Amino acid sequence: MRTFNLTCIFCLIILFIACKHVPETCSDATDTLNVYPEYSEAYIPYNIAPLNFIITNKASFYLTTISSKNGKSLLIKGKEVRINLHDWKKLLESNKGEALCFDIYLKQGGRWYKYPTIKNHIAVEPIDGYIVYRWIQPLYTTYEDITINQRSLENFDVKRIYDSRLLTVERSGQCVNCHSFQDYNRQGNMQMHFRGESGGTVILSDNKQKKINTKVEGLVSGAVYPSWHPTQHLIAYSVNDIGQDFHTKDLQKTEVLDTRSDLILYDVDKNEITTIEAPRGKPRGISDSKKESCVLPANPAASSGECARGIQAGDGWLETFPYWSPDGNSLYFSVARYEQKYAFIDADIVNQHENIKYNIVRRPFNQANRLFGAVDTIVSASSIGKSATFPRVSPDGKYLLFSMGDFGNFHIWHKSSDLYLMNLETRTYKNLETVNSPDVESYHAWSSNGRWIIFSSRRDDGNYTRLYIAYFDKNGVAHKPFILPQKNPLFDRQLFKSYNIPEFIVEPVHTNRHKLLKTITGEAENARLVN
Amino acid sequence: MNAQTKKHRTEAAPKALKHTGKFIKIQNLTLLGFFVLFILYQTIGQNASFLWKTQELDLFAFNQRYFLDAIEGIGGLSVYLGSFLTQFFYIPWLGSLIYLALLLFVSYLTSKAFNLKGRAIPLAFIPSLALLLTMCELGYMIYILKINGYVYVTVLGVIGILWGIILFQKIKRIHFQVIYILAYLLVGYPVFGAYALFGGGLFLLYTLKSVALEKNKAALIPAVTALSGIFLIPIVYYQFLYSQTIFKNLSFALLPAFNTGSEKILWLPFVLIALFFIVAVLWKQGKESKKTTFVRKSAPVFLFLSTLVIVAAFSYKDENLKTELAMQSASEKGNWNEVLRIAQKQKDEPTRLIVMNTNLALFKLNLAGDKMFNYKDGNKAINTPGNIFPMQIAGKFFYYQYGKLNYCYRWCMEEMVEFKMNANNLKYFVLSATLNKETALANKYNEVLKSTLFYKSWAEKQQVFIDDPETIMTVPEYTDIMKLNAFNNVLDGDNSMLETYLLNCSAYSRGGNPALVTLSILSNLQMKNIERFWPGFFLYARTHDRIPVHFQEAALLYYYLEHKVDISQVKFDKQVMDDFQLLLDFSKKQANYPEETTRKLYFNQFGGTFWYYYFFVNTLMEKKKETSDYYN
Repeated sequence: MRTFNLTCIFCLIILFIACKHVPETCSDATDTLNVYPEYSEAYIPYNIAPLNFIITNKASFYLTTISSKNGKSLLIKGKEVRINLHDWKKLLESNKGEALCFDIYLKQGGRWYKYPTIKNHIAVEPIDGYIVYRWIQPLYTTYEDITINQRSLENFDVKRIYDSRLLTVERSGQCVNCHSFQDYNRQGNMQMHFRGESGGTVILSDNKQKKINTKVEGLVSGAVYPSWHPTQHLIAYSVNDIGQDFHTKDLQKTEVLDTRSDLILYDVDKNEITTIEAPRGKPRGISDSKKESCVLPANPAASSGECARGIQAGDGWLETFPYWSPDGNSLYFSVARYEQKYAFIDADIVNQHENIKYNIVRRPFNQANRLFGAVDTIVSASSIGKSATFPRVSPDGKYLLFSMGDFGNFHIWHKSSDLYLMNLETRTYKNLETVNSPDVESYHAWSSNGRWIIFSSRRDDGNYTRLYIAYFDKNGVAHKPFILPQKNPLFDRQLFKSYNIPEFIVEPVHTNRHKLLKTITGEAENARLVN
Repeated sequence: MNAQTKKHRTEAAPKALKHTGKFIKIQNLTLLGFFVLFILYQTIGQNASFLWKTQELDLFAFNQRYFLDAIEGIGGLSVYLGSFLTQFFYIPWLGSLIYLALLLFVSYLTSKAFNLKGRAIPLAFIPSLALLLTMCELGYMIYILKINGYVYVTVLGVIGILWGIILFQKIKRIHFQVIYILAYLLVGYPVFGAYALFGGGLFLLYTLKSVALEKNKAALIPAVTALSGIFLIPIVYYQFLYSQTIFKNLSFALLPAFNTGSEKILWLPFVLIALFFIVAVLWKQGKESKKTTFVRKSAPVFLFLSTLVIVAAFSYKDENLKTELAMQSASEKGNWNEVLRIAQKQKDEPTRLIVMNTNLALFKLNLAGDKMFNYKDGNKAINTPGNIFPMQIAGKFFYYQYGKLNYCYRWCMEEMVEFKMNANNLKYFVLSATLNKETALANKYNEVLKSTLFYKSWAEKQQVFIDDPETIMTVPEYTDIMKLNAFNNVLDGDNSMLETYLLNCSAYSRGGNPALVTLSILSNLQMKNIERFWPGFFLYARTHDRIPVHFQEAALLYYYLEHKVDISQVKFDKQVMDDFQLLLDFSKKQANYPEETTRKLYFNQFGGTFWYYYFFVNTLMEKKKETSDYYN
């Protein structure tokens, strides 16, 4: 009995030791290696969390080695390759700019097989420490558990900034959206909207929190899509009358349409809203109260009449998705021309929805007097039968990243939507073919050093949005993206929510849900419309 | 009293006691028998299809993600275990036996916790009967309950309370009692939610009873501990752990939200349980003696039987719900003849869902054109205290059956958002994604079903179609649905109005394959839409040898009313024409009589015809409880 026990222990030790080393003799595998997620030929930041994955080929033993030019290789057993964080960091830190090799060995039928090496590249530039995104189910009108999460990109820590269930009472739900940060949250300035229960906009600024009501008479709606000015306490918003309809057969399933939209500027310190006047020389169209069109004078600063007041609903221009240039001297946004043909605007816009094409324009902004200059069309997507949205200028001001699809503005529902990159000096743009997929690519953001792009994609299953990160090198070339790494490699497969509005931040969000909840459930200050 | 009499009495006393003991034993066994039979009657007897539905509206998956999601909230472990047990209702008799076993266990624990012996044993069944009522009273509410595993969550919660009491009673020393109370609340609250707080409340009562009766002032310490713990421990958890709970709901975690006026009656079993425990804790048990009155002796039996009567009286009884469940079950198996058989047995006014399911079965069997108006029509309101819409009950089922795959998918998603994932919406997710040839998406949902115990085989069969979409068209069920899916894409919305949307879609469609044309005509018949009827009718007449009876009836009537089209080339059955002439003659005779008096006469003569439907049935106009606002 004692001998038997010793023998067993000895065998176990041998087995353990045997599996601690790469097999000395093995054949080349002839079948295809199936791993999920697939990380290969991508550039990865040296400070990224481990790229855990799962091997789905059938085998009795699995061994994975991860190696680079310098430092000790990592050896991981098992079909789920979960890499030790400390070892991973050490390996990547000491191999910036080098290749990272994954060698996988499977034991099948008593023999070891080696699969072709999977290579990735370790970039010399780091990625920002965090991203903030929303989790939301795709395709619905009801809402229940929506969360705003902060995820560390250097490990797998997730902090739940807000959970809408905190205020969702049975059928009285709450929606939370449009989290937005000034300057990558360096000063801790951010904002979020809350719809439904305790609705309003919460702004965190200078370590204070306040809730404001931006639904002001004369505006199309309360504030919607935000963009913080990089240096001033100003937020450009669009105001949108948004509707949602459903495709009876088209697999894109949903269409989100603006019947009306305009732009406003919100002064955080003064709690004031000013409208952003229509482009000079363009007719303002018909207002609800005034049935005549009027053209702005050449000098917008001299405007004092009705033309300068308020936002005209149904003025024929749809303006949305504002975004400031990094220096704060320009405002980019998307604009589309829409001519109402029938009396009922909702039905009319549904009929015309495939004809609504957005261009990306830019207006210079005078930071001293806060006035806007003439419109400069940057991307004339409509001239090629396309629609461009989500303008995002790189931190160095050289490039413009945007989404372009066949029509409309809510491109997350358009399989035709791809990411495009414009060189702002030459004004030429191209499809980022290495980044895009046959399915949706949309909502994107630049890292603070301009070397990384994060974007939403539905390439995995066509319905659930996942986050992908791509390296953008100093020569202006975007490389193959990789999916946001997860501790459990199957996490995204088992998750029935979409990632929404990924934003890089360099400083974590410092508020906690209790403080936030107190602000949300408090009284909202009404913003004042000053023009 | 002489010695002999005394001796006789002394010898007779144990015998009498023995007889009494035997009687009580027989009584208790009899009552146990009643209890078991009653539970089986209320479960497998009366509610087999309902119990099957409870598991379909729930989910238990053997994977880590599911476990982590389940335990995320307060009482998560109870929900997890509750869902685990609920899945066995897939086989109703098996689930019912497990349920019965747990209720017997509750009775056993009750007897232990409150030292119920002898005559008092029937009292031990009262909490179990009340728990049974928490299930039997639900009816349609099962569609909108937001607690997974609800049927067992209540049972597990009560078990948590009883175990707590049993262990508490074993602790005599004050400082151990304090530790125990804190430990119970700290461990119990995240597991049992409000039930653990109630348990803490009972410990408070025990200690106060001790202070009052035994003059044990030291018992105030655990009393204060219990009181503080009930208030503070949930707050501590809220502050540091549970990031998704509403503060004002902390004390009600795991309890259902029967908050609106007419729903409040559903609190009855919880009130019964609470009252029972409070009285049991405070009751001072005395020993039985000769002076014990008959009333006191028979009180336990009386209370047991009264509870039985209350459970029976307040249990949900509605034939329409049973009919709907039976029809859906038969429909999902493709047994359309069974659906019609069930419809023929309908005595009471049916709900719209029953009418829709009957019409669907007739359509699938190609009998609608001849027999649709032979079946009972109606618009009976859904019998429920809560606010429930037909869309919530059967929206995705009907959308799927009528080829509206995107809408089926959409309502699966709405339901998943509102009520979490369950086996029913997962199945329709898989079906709609499969038929839409969205392979990766269908796989995503199918993987979840593969990790369940009872839906694994269904998922594995479905995998064939997901992996090879070409095989879809080899299955008649799928082929039929794809025929109905052969329409042009349109952007629209249903405003949560299921039947209205389906009818309008079909009624206003133009052309299409024979199935779509037939459906269009049938919809126009139901909507009494003369203008839209004719194009479909003439197309049908041109392409078919025989025109169904109801189509002919409508054509003759509409021609007679409007004379707008030429039907001279249409082949009508002689019988239909003769019947129409009869109708005209009959109408002339009844022309001067009010509708209320002639309605029955018309029904007797023409009840199964489109003519009767056209003139006397207005159920589509009298919509009850289907509004355009899903959430008011």
